[in-house]
Amino acid sequence: MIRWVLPFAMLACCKHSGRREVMVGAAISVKESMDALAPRLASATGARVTFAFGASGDLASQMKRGAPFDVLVSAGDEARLASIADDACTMAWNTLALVRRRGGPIVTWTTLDRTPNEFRLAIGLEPQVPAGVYAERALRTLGEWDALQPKIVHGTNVRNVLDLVARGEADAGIVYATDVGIREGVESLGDVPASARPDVHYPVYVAKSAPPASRAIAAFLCGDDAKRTLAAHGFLDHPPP
Amino acid sequence: MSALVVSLRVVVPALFAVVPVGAALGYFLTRARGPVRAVVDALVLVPLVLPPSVVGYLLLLLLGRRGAIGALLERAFDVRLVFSSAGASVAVAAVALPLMAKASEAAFSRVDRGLEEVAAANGLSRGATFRIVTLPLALPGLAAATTLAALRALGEFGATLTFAGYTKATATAPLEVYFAMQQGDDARALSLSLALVAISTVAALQFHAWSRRA
Repeated sequence: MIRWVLPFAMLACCKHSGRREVMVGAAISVKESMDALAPRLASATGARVTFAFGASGDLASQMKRGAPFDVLVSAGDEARLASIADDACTMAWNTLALVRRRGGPIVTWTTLDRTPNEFRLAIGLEPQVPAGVYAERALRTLGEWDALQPKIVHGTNVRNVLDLVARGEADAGIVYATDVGIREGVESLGDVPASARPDVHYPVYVAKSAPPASRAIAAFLCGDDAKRTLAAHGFLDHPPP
Repeated sequence: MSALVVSLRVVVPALFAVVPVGAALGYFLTRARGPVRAVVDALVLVPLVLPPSVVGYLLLLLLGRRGAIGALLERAFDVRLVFSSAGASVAVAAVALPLMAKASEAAFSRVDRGLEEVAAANGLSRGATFRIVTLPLALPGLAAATTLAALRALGEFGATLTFAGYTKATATAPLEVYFAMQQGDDARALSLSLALVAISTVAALQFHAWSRRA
């Protein structure tokens, strides 16, 4: 019997010792940056890192429910994580862009409420998709939110919003400025006006129960090396002026 | 329970298409022979075993605003399926139709062909034979098939989300369970889940009753 039991016993005993895998949840908007950073992240911290991407709110919900994320790179503040994770540092800043499918109707941030009835504006599903929460904040500041209600459709994460625009299912969409170049055939109609600009930033949360390497991962993501890669992908290393 | 209302608005119109078309396909499958039948049978079976996300994606390519048929629908009738309850109905119908067809095939195949031959020998036309002999005998089986298709339609998730998206008009009970859960709204997710369990259980018992009479 020992031949059968031993391997399982070894699994059970050694899973938590030594160099364990570090699970990093990250906003889908930073996927390309994380993919680019992954090799250096591994060599700089010595950790085996596995990424999971999605809408930040979905990832935070999962973490809150016990999903084993050690680090969460969120596209916005997640107050509900306060009891289980520390806000270690801020990785980057971003801003919103209004996008359309190339050749689609031209609209501007301030005239969205004057579009025809059948106009469809895609934003992220709130409150799970931070890009949607930021979009609502901006549209409220611009005084267009209430009038736009019947025209709004939702994407389940910011890249889904981009996809809806790329396929023409939505006439325009609100995504991050860094998302615009991701999909061919999508072009920016302009960044959100400074007067209505929400504070889009990426806090890095580290779970209180996370292994020590997680702190090093957070430090790396907020450090100078990562900043260069993030800048190359269009992210800002300070809040926009 | 507005999500259940949305579900009804999506499922009932879908069934109006699925039940007659599925039953007709089922009848065809019991009577036809040869390569045409084999092809139709395969076409019916494939959507039954495909992942709903694939069904939804293919629907999007075909019926989306840039799709061959979708663009036509919008130009000719000003109909947009994505983000509409009609779109959700299409997704639900696509997934429920194969089940209706296969279950109807089973219902029709249990009808005693000897009785049909007797009716024909007594001078009844093919239409009359179908109306007076075949259909009444197949009816309990068709009712069971309808129950099965309705349940599949009510429980549809993947194709609906992939094709019709998530918005007020498409927020059926299964989608609401998923998004309520994602938002940590367990009260809502659980109450809707229990409602679906209850409805499905009652319908399953009904299915059992119809099947025994078939």
